[in-house]
Amino acid sequence: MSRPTIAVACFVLGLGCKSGVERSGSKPAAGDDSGAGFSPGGDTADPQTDCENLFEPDTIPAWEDASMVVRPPPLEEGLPTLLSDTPLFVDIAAGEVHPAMVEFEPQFHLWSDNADKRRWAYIPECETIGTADLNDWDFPVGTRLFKEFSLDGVRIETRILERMGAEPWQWAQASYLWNEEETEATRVGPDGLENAKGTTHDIPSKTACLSCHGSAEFGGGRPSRGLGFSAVQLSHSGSGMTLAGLVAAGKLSHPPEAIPTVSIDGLDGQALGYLHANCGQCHNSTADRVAPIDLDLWLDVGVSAVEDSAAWRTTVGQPTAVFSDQHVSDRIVAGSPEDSALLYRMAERGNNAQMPPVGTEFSDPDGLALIAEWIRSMP
Amino acid sequence: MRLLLVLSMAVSLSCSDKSGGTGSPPTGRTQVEDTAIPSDTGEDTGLISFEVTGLIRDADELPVAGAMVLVGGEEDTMVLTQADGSFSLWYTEVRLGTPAIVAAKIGYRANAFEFFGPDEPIQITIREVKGPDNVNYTYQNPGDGEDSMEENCSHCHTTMVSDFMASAHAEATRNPMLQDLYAGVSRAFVDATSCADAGGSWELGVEPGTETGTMEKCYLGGGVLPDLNVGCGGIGELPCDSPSLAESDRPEAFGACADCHAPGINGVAGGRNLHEAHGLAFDIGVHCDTCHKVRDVDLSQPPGVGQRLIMGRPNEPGTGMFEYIPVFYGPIIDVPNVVMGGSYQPKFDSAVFCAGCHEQEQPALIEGTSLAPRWADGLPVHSTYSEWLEGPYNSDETPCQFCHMPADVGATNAVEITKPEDQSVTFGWARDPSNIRQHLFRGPLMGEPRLVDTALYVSVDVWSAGDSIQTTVSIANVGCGHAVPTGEPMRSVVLLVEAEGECGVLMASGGQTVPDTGGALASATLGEEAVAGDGLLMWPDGAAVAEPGQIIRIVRPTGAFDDYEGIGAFADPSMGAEDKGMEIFAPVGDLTVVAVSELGLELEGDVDWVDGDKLYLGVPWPEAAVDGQRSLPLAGTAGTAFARVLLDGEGNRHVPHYRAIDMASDNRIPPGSNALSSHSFSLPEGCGPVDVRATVLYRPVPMHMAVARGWDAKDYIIATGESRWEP
Repeated sequence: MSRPTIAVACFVLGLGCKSGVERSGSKPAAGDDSGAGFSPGGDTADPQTDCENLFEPDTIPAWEDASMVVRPPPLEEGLPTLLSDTPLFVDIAAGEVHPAMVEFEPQFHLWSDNADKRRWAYIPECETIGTADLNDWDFPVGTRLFKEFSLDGVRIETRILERMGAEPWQWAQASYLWNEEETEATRVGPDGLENAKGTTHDIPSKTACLSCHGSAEFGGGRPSRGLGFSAVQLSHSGSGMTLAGLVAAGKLSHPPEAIPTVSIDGLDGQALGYLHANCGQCHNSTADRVAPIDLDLWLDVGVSAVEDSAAWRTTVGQPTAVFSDQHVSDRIVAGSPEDSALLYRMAERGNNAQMPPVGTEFSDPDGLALIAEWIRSMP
Repeated sequence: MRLLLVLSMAVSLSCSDKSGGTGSPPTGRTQVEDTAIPSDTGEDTGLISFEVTGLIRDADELPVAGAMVLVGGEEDTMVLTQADGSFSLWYTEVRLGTPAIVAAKIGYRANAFEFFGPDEPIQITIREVKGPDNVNYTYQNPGDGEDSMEENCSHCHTTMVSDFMASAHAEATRNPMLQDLYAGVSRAFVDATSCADAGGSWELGVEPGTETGTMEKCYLGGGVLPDLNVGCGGIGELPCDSPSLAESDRPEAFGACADCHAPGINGVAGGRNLHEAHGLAFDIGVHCDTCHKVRDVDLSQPPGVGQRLIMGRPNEPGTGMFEYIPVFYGPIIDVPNVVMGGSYQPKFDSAVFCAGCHEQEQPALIEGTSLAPRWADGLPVHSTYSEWLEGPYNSDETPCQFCHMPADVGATNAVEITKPEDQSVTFGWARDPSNIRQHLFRGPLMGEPRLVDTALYVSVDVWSAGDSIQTTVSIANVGCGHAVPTGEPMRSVVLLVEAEGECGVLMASGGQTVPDTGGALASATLGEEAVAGDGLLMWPDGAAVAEPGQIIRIVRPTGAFDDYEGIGAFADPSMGAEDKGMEIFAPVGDLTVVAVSELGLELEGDVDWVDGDKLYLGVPWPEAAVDGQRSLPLAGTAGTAFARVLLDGEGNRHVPHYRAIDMASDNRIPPGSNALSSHSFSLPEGCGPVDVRATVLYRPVPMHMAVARGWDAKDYIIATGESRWEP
């Protein structure tokens, strides 16, 4: 497999590279012998001297005098107070996004009560994403993932996930609330904000953020933390950054030999994708999943038959583990959506049966119809 | 500065092996800020990396086999020593701070060696915690959780102590309900006259929490001391905690209350009189130094310290500020700070540790009584651990600590002043948040949302059947790893079901009603304690407490029994519904108290009652019910209740567990299960649509006991569900 050059990387990603300079990849992961990197020959360039990250990671908040401070400040306090001070915009008032930001669009959407969303990623120029496990990407320190939420054309909030340190939990998460003029946004405190800007949209609390972008201790998650910027979600040929684009840019430590696609056609593929995006962030097989439920709705790269998917294996004909009700028995009763706990919980809101438990106040009519149709189609 | 003094001492002590060992002087390590994981393929990662070999010895200089040796903070590097105490491990510098090689073993204090280098074998001495448990040890004050300059737990673990101080563990001894039930007193009566009028005895007894203090109390309603002992507390006798009690009459049976409620009483562990708790033992109950002096847990023994919780207070004389060589047992292997004397006990991270007290099978404690035959192994009065064990949350990933001691994402490690660059023997090493447990001991009403609010899900099905509305209510335990309710058997959950149509509130006409668990100001059987007369209800007990505006709920035994799923012994599928002990009482109707006289109760309403019906005097459920409002008498309302109903030798229900010899029923909702109840309401023609609403209340204390003892009993709305029937 040929190794992409930095020129390609800069072209594709719009990264702030030094003009005309080739570079090799960042430190490969343990056991890496793929030669992935940015140098075409992998032999001459020096990553320490020829590459420069445009945006360094924000600094983990510093301790003051240890004799005076009894708690370390939370990571998000190391983030700028204003969105304009993050790398996202060149000109926030004009809405001009920095060219180093990579806009992307996951092919399966997380339902957010019909909010419109835009997403950007910043992967440090001199680093690659660790993809030894293609299903769980290891983002380099300094990575920022942004997601902007709008409702009825009104920009409400922009969320940031930033990897600040090498430890798995050293991700800062925060949200910025847009002002009425949409010329600036200000970081919201850890308690979040209900009914932001007079809408039904809630800015999540830090706890709520962690319940999907955290680990089992906080409700559930995956090691990668960045959920929508993934192999499955970017394996499409639509707009924005794609998996193929990342491979071409040399941004993956272990680029797949062939670009995987969700090769399950039609209804099956759509249903698995929906569950992947809306449920798999917590219900998966990693140690960070919501414990101790053996329910896996994450769609792994390379699954080619619906019956082989974890979602099928752990739902169809499987009794509910910690939820039972007079209405349902199994997670999915093939052919019978009305008897299926999975659909039942997707439809609930405002109580302890609601799924997902955070980030939504209204059930997703299209999602419910899709999953109901899928269950109904099962033999 | 005290802080610096203590820390300096810790450093100097922790490094004691340097002079006696064979370790090399500092190797001139360079500060490496990159924490990348080194390659295991021999690839040069640019990080300092070398083999460390050495020997682990005990205080007698004998080799220790099977000791755990690891690079501080790097559990992946851990090896076990050979029979000759030798070890070899690979060190790679991946952390900030001062690295150390740590040795530990269960039953020993961890120790460490800093400033090691390649090709320089090291020796580490780990000191065994010599038994037996030291009854002369004085439990140490953890501090107040605010002042980090004190030389105690608060010094390094300020927030942990602060969290603990607000927990039920801190209140375990001084809890007034415990103290009242123990001494057999009621705080509902605050002077001699009112106490005597209520049938009590106003006497001098122990002032809880004091060593010699006394106070006047109203002895009424029985208690652990008066009920379990002879020669005191009876009619005409002095109270069992009276300072005037003759030596020969002093109580000897203490009900094992203090074994779990006051583990911090200095001296012999277990079997102590709760009134011996004063000072720390009273003020902060199950505190830091009591839990972290538990050497092991033996589930074959009765709960509490000195029995199931095997204490290991240090014996070895210490030096300087330490009377004894410190030891604190805990779940982290590599805690070599000598101030801590960290001794690894993995059970701290498991549900077994909590079972030390939150699981109890009890013998008959009242003299002359014996357990019902089906409880040959003891009456299970607390079973939270076994409920978890049998439920879907039984997993190493989700022990009790998962919910009740949530991970702390805000700290580097348990020593909360530790900066990453401070990592060392003294400050410990950075830990994953899952290894830093908040010491909140989160109870059902703690947190935002409260834990109990995340436990249940209610769904309501409603349909019509001619002239009635039928409804089935399901309460699913979706979020809790044990039954709801659990723990103290006084706790209950009450379900209320209401139906309202366009014509108003519908009268319940069939199905289940809230049993006596729901509370009543008075109760009677029509034709027995209460007799329907000419326009009056002759009910002396009712008339004594009734007031106009209250209601009498009338229910009728059906001879049918609720075949609920049950938990523990009551989950036995071979058990018939009748044996499960919950007869269904169908609603008959409500009457409103209009007037009360010596002749009886004047009532308003139209009810077709018959002798044998059960009457509950209560109050209406308010339209604007408030979470946390005072508990109301709700028995007889359409609904049901979930509780473990304990019986004493006289057949009394809902007795405190020290009196219990049998269990009438246990319909608490198991984890991952749902409880169903059915109800019907009369539907006048043209009254639809009808809204049916289910309200679930958590009631920590039985209403009747709260009234008798003068406690503040509250109901908490923890779940609701509703459904509409459209004609």
